[in-house]
Amino acid sequence: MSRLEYRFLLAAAAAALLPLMLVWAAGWQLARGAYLEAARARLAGTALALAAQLERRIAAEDAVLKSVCRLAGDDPAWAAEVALAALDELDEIEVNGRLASRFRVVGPGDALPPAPDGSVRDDAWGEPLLRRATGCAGGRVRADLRLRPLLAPVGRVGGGLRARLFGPGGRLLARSGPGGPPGRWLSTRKRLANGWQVEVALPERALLGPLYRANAAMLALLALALFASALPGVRLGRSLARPLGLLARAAGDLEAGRRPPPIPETGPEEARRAIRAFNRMAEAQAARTEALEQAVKARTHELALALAKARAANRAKTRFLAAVSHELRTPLTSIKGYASSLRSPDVDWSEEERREFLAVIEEEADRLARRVDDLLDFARAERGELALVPVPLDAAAWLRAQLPRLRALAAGHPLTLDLDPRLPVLAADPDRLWSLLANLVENAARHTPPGTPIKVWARPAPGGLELGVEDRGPGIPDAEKERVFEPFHRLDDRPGGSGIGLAVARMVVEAHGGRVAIEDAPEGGTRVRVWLPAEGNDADTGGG
Amino acid sequence: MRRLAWLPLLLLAACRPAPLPLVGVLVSGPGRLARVAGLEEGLKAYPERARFQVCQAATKAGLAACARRLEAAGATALVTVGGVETQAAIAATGRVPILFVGLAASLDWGFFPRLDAPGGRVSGVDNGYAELAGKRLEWLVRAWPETRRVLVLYQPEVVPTPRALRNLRRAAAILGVALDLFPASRPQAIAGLAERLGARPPDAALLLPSFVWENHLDRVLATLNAAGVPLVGLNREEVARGAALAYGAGNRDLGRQAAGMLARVLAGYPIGRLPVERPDRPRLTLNRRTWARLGRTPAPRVVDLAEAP
Repeated sequence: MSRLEYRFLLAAAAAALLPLMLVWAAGWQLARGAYLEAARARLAGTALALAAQLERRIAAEDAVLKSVCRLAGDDPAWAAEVALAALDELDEIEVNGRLASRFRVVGPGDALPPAPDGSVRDDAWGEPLLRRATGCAGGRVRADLRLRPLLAPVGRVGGGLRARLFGPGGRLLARSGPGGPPGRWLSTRKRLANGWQVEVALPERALLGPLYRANAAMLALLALALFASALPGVRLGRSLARPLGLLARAAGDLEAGRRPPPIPETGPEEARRAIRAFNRMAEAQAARTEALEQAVKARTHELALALAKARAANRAKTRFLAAVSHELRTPLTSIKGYASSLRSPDVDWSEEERREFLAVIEEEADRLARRVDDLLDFARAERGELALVPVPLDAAAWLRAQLPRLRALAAGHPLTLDLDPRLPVLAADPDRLWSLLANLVENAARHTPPGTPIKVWARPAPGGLELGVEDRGPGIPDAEKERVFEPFHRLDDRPGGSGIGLAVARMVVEAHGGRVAIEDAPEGGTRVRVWLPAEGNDADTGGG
Repeated sequence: MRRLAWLPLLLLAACRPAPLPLVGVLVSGPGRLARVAGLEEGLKAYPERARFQVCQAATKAGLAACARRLEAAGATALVTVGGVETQAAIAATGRVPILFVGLAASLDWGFFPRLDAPGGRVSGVDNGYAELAGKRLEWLVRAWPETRRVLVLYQPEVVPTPRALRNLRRAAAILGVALDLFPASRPQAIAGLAERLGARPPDAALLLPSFVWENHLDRVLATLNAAGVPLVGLNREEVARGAALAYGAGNRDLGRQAAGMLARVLAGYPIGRLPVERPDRPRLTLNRRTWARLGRTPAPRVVDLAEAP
């Protein structure tokens, strides 16, 4: 049996006191009824005895009065004295007009006051007197009889009985004593032969006194037992209510999104198990919430980074568009200017000047074409459609052949070409390779002060060759060395360039299976190193 | 086992019945103790029980001290056997019910305003001696029709005297009897009775309620009998002691009658609602030996009606 069941058993025992009390109440009613019934029987017996006594006494009085009446003819005074001696309750008697009294001396002319037979009046003491009158051949007798002495024996019955004598019409003729204590009275009446009624009564409080006392004692015991039985019930209620209250408060915390502190285990075992389960659940819920918060935080961070990146890209694209516009507009402006100058009718240009003007127009057109090619290559590379047409290429010969064009690109910068005689043959697309080299040289020339040298070199490297372009410019911070290859990225908003030159360069290198890196040059400035695989070496095994 | 020896004693003490209610009795002299005996005897006929404690004192102060002591002892009721005792009890106590047994002219004492509902805490059985004074004279005349002059022995300052004398004078007027009055307020005054009898002998002497005369009745009877004067007493006890005739309730009868009232008081009824009772059985008692000693023969019809003491 669990503790909870045990406590419920105690509570049930306490509840059982109620039926016990009901049983006691029913028992009390039954006992009271039986007690009253017995008392009624006793009262009825007493009333019967009293009625018989009264009837006997009335019969005796009648007999005496009739005897006196018979004697009245001889000596009325003597007859009256005999009656007084024979009947203690006789107060005064008048026999043929001669009055005799028990308590006073009768004078001449004294007589009983007129009153009908059977009437009752009070004397000077407040005692009721019954008038009796009878007649016979000898004369007429009238008498006043005291009723109280007749009822005096009732008091000897005991138990606080009260007797009352009622005459015709229910008139109270006599009573045995005072009214008695207030409250309900148990009474019974007995009718006499002459129509009178004798009532014997008993105060219920006095009658049931012992029963009341026993009842009070029993009720006190029941109350005590009820109180004693209530204690386990109270403990049971507390043992259940306290953990339930703690659970409710903790659940409220959970509902409000707060992490409740662990609930102390209390109450019966069942409640403790529930608290343990709740604590585990709250702990797991807290862990899940924490993980979710971490994931959200990480995701938010990622989204913030992506947003920043997108914003940067957008800014780069804006700058790119501005730069591209500038890059495209500059050669177009030169071309339009020289072309307009040539067509001017007001100037007579010399042939040399015309050729020089045309050379500039051609150069700017080439420059414009490269920019457009770069854009197209970048777009293709973005779509993964950058197509190469590799051909066996003698790297040394090809580089030497590009020297004039490179110097033209690096206008304002002395450009030197340092080639190792052992350069391998490459499998490369010459147009893309030129685009790569032109971008590197043009980038070096754009971001270095005018007059600073630019060095292009090439030497064999494991699996291929290494190509380098070095300048004496301000250099690139280490944090930016990787990012300068990102499309539209421009370093510190430096003027010039579209921001896709180095991106196109890396796409071309990677399309050839090579690698590109930027590092600080030994003499200061920036060095871009490109590794390209030799012909027949598809694997990326080169170092650098 | 020794340690448990007290246990039976404890159980015995616990099982001891509750003490009976105490009824204190105030008596000014031994002459009325028969009323107390009658009261105790009469109470046996009722279911109520009590223990009686009699306190006797000859003076009012002594009676008051008795009453206070009895009330302090927790008396349920005080029983008095006369007016002086009742007066002292009322003055000395505050709450205890007072039941008088054989008080004469009870209404005249001023203890209550009416007889049928006295109220307060005093009630009892009136002995009717004041009212019956005339009847006693009537019975004397019936027993000795030659009676012409009667010496009335009385105590002037006691309350019943005026009522008794009033009744007596009325009866004397009806019966044609002359009354000589002989008052005595102190016992010493009784000594003058012999001289008074010698100076003018009456046909009879009649005693009115008086504690001085009653407490020295034997001396009075000796004086009267020596002078050949019959005494009409108050009750049968006095006839038994030597009075020639008496008409009134005996002391024992008064006690028996009062037992009914005491039983109700013990049952818890308020005494103020118990009407003052007249004596139920006033008896004519005649002492033939006294009459014979005096050389007189009472009327035969009276002898027939009278009881022996």
